[in-house]
Amino acid sequence: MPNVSIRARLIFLSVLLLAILAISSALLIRELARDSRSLAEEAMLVSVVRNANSASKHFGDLKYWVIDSAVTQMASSLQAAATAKAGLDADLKAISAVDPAVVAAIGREVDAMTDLARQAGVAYSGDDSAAGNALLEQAKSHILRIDDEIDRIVDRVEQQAVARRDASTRKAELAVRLAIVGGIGALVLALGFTALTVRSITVPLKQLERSMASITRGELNVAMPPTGVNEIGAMTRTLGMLRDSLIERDRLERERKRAESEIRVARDAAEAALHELKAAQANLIQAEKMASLGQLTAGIAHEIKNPLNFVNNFASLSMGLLDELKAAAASAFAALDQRQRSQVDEVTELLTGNLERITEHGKRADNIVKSMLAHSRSGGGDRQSVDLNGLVEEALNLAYHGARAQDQNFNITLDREYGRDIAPVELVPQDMTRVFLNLFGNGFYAAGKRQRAAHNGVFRPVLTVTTRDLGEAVEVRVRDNGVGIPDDIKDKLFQPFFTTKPTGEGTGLGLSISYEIVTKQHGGTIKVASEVGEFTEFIVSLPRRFAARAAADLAASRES
Amino acid sequence: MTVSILIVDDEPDVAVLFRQQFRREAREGAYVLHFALSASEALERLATDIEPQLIVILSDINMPGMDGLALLREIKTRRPDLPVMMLTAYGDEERRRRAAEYGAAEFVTKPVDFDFLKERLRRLHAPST
Repeated sequence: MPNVSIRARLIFLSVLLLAILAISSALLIRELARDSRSLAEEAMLVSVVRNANSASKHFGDLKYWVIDSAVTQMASSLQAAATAKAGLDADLKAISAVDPAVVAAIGREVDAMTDLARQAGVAYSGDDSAAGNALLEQAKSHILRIDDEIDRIVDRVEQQAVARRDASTRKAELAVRLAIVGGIGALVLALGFTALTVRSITVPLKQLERSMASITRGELNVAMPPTGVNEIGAMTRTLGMLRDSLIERDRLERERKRAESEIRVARDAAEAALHELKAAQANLIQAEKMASLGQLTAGIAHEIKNPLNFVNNFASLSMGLLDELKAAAASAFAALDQRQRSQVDEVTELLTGNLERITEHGKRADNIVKSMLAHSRSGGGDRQSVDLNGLVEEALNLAYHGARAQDQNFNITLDREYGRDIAPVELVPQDMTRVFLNLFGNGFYAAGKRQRAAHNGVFRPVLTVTTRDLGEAVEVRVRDNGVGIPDDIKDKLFQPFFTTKPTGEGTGLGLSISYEIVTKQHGGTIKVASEVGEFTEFIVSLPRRFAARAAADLAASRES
Repeated sequence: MTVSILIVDDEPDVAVLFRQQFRREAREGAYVLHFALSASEALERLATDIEPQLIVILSDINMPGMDGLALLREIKTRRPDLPVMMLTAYGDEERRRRAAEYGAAEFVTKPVDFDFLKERLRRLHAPST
């Protein structure tokens, strides 16, 4: 079926329906023809019956008039007998086909009877009554036989007619049934073929429609109906081509997207690499800057230290010399008058005061120089395996009590968020303590500054210290809720001599030294996060594995 | 007995400072101070004019030419018995360790605490007096 075109199928169906119509019509026509023939036969039989009855009646007339004419010898009776005889002969002729032998016999009997009756008439006219009576008796016996014969033939003809009618009726009934059955059969056949043909068209069309709907919805992996050589097959093939082109389009689209995403990934990677490179470059520049600043600082310190030592030494020496002068010249002074002595006393006092001031400021300068020299220390101090939390706690207590000693009103909430089970870390304890003291001190200062600025006393300064074990490294976070650090000075924080404190309160060396200790000495990192008016957080990260490398670096630096 | 002290430092004012600081001791005749501005001059003077009264050398470490530590090694090879005190502006562990290794009697950081220095000197020559 799939290989037959729809047009051919429809033509075939039409031809088939016409054939069924023709066959059933032919059958009916044949049956009708058959019926009409039996009706004609029946009509003929009816006329035979009528002739038979007519023959019976004409014979009745004949025998009456024959006997009457024999007795009376009247011309009218003879005439009537002749008429009756002519009618009987015509009737017998009409029914002779039914049984020619019997009809012929009847004819002969009738001839014999009329002949006897005529002889009786002759006898009567000769007044021979006895002979007439005998001849009439003979004629009567013929009459009886003829009556019998005619009755029999009438019976037979009637029976034949009834039988023929019954047969016709049965045949007609059969024909009606045949027509009904045939009609139903033809109808069923026609409907069946029509349904089959319609089905053979609609089923693949339905499949095709489903496939088209699916493809329209974008379901391209839908199964295609089997393709024949007919019109639906052609449509299916066209749809298949459409589907294939859509699949191809999708594939190209996917390809394009994949290529785009690859390009995007590559671009992102390149951008990330560039970003990293820039960050690394910035870090390198920062490190270089810090290193050269550190060297510069240490160099300046070296150069200043010796002259400063002279200043300090000669100042203290001069104080001693002044005392010596006073002792040596005591008697001479005593000899002076009141005004002169008070003048000498005033000058010596001023000199003493000046020398004290020189000594004091010299010591201050010396402290600064010592801090500056910390930049040049090439990892002096021994690495020890220490408990990080213990070290931090010790530094925190030191810083807190130091701050309390400086300012009785100082107060801050210390929030300790120490990580549990942090394995001991290799570091230089005194240097890392110095770093933490610095960070805590800065935190106290910033929180205190914000508290003083707040005035209302609602602000509660808090310093949070967090330690964490990061596996390959440890991390210490020092967070204060103080004034915060503006963005524009964040990258200056670690530069030597950068300070936001008033002159005399800070050297600006704390964070620069901390930076050197953390990055150079311990190979770690120190970062800052801050928001003005909110918080500042320093994040110190120290690698565990740096110990060996740092020692090697140290050895190498000693050799050079 | 007079104790001779040779002070080696490239700063000329060191001589002025030491002379003032040791003014009383010099007057009393306890110490005689000698000065050299370089390691080579120190070695030269050691070889010639200040022998044999000298018992202590005070040397700066950071000097142009031969530095104090090299001088210390040189002196210790020539005169292992001679006590040498090292004076330096850099009190770091490394130098301190090397000075001890080369046989320095004392390691004193600048600025010099003269009371401390005098006490150390007294202790140094006490057995010989």
